[in-house]
Amino acid sequence: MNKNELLNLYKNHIIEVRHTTYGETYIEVDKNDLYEIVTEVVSMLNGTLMTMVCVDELKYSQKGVIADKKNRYKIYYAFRIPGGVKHDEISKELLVIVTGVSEDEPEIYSITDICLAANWYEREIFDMFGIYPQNHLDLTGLVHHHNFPKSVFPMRKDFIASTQIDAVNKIETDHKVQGGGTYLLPVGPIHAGIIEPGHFRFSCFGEHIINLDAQLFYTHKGLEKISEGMGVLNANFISERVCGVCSLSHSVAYSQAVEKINMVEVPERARAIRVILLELERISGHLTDLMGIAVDVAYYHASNYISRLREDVMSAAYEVLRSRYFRSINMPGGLRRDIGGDSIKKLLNAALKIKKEIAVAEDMLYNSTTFLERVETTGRLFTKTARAIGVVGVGARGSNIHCDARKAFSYETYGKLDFNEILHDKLDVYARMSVRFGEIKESAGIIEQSAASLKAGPVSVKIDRAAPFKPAFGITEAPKGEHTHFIIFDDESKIYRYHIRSASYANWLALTFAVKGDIVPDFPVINKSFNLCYCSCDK
Amino acid sequence: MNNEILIISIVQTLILIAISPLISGVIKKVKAVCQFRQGPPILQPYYDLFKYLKKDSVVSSTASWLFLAAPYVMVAAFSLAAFLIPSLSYKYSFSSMADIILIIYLFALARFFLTLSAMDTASAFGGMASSREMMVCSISEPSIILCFMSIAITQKSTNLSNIMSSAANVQNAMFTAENLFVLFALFLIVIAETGRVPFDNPATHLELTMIHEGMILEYSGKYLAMVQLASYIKQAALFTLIINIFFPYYMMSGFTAGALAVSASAFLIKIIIFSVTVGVFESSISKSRLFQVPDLIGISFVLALTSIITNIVKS
Repeated sequence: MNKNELLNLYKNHIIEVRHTTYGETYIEVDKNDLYEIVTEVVSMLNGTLMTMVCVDELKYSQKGVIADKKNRYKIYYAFRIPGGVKHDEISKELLVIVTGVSEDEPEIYSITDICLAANWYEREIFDMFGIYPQNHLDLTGLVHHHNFPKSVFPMRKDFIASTQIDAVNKIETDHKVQGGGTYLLPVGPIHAGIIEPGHFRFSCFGEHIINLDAQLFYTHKGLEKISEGMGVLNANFISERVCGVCSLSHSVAYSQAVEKINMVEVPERARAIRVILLELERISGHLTDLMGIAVDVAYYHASNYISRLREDVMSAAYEVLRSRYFRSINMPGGLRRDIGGDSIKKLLNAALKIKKEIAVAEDMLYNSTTFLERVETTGRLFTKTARAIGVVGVGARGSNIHCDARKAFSYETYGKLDFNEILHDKLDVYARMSVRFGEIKESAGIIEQSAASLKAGPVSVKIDRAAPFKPAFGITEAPKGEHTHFIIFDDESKIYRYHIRSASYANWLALTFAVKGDIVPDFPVINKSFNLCYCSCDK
Repeated sequence: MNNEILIISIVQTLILIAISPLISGVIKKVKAVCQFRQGPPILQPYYDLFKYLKKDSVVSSTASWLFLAAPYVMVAAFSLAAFLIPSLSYKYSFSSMADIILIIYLFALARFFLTLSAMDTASAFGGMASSREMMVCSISEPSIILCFMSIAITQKSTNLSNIMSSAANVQNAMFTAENLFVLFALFLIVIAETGRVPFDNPATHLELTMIHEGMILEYSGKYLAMVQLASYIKQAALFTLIINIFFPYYMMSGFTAGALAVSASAFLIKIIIFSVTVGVFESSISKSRLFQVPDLIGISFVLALTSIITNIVKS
């Protein structure tokens, strides 16, 4: 079955179909038909849930765009649909199912039993909008912890961002394991090292992990809320600050969504430079992860060597951009300024140097038996599990799943470039490490190709207005995986709804599956192999 | 004669305790060089100890007297061990009073108190680290006993003075097959006992992987200084055991200032060479998986056993 057959089959249930020029199809269905259609999409079209976005249309209604109390909330279910019928074929388009939820009866039917990936999204929507997912598998607070009042829903339009919220006195409940020899090991949110806050509850039997509960979202920044009402260019600053190490990827994802809404063609030179910078960001990110894996097994000899390589990339970035984290260069419509030939050469040289010296790091890691002994068979994430929970990025590719937004959506100039998607079938920390090594080399190749074909020309088109009430997704493949930004502007070109789904948000659940059966002291290295980000979830 | 023994014993104990933090400093520096880093100054462990002394101690409200007593017990036990182990001279030493078994169980006493104190605060990491420590020591203890059994068979004594003097009096006495087995077995045990890679990682910040660091996580201020000093002395004592049993060269034979200076500098050079070896060894490998630790100590156990069998077959 393909998409059109599905649309035909369900044409009596579908309220509206809207095709766009940028590969996104929006299908509006009734709340009661949603479950059935999602089942079809997942089972017949092999769709994978990429993200779920809830939009409160309260102000829409006041301005008379949709004066409908029955459809106050809109929930967007975005599915990645493979090009062919098989799972492995690269997805080419986005199928977005939209359903309305009424103000009086804020409930939806949970799809977690057919699509496990919806777990976090539905919980977040419940916390933020108060839309109750019936029949959800595990409805504990996600964004809101036990001490957050149950009747406050911050993302609703009638909630003022500056409202002070008092903590409530409530006892925390958690999953318990019982039996002789089992115990609960709480870790965090304050750790011995300088890392972000996360509270982990390990249910253990001796050193073996039976279950892991991760409580995150300790430092919620409210980016989505404060960006509402911001102009096109101002929100770009927000997007650059979603996460420290993926600044550029987030910014490009945001820019893409804005460019899609306005149907703007970004100049060729800007797109090529974006690709060069994105790939350098990828090299830097992957080197950080490789370094982290080596540190966590106390193989400092290699980790410091890799750390030095990463510093070379960041220094080159600083020299050219005056920002070690690739900030303040990208904007909707292109680049904020052009980068001269000399600068491009510097970046290219940095990439070529890495390509040469990464062999030494590979030699250090692949030829150390004590190191390999730690990473092999550790933290296996099985392909079936990974697919069910919608894992993206290196986590997916290490579990032998095709998932690379550069190939799938061929944004910027990726469609014209020659590079391979690195897959690995070992499923463990070793696999994810190998994928990273492979991608660093591919990235250097991409930078070479882009720099060679770079032509002079303008680097930006002006965007100061945006088409009103038109949703679009911006998708980039960051070092951590696929970032998905969803934007709707209002009729004054101010942001109406901005939703950020970072790669780590999609991957955190994978960690809790990957550690099962492994031992407690191996947790840090498994965690590092996914390199999950806390702050991009606290959006 | 008794006065001389007392003076030299006290002098060599003080020297051993005084240089014990230096050993950690040297190892850290060697590791830093292997990791392409500049690293902290060699004297950093001393600065740290003085810094801890100046800080306040925070003690968990659930902790009992045991938590505060453990650092004293540890420093006392290791200092006594340092007093009994001849570092400069086996001739002028009280080690004739005590044999190797006593020293091994002085270490065990300190460890017993440390593991109890780690569990005393009811911190999750303390209990976890204690259980791991006990797992490691329950297999390293038989191994270390076997090592010394083998040495005792060769040198016909379990007394350190006798072992060292008989080793020193015969040219290259320790470089026989059975003793080299023991040397390697003991080296592994010393690495395990001092909580170094591949058994434990002294530089880690990851609570979940900790063994020794996990046990001392709750200590602060002067108690932390004492616990740290205790582990420095333990490390120095263990290193001294190895170098003086296997390389008892230039040890003090006469009661003169010159002999003292020669033996002290020889000791210093030997222990620094040994520390550099440990540092390089540690840098060249990564930490092993927790359940692989018994296998590693098993290697040491088998080596010690082989050595004993070789000894028996030879005699």
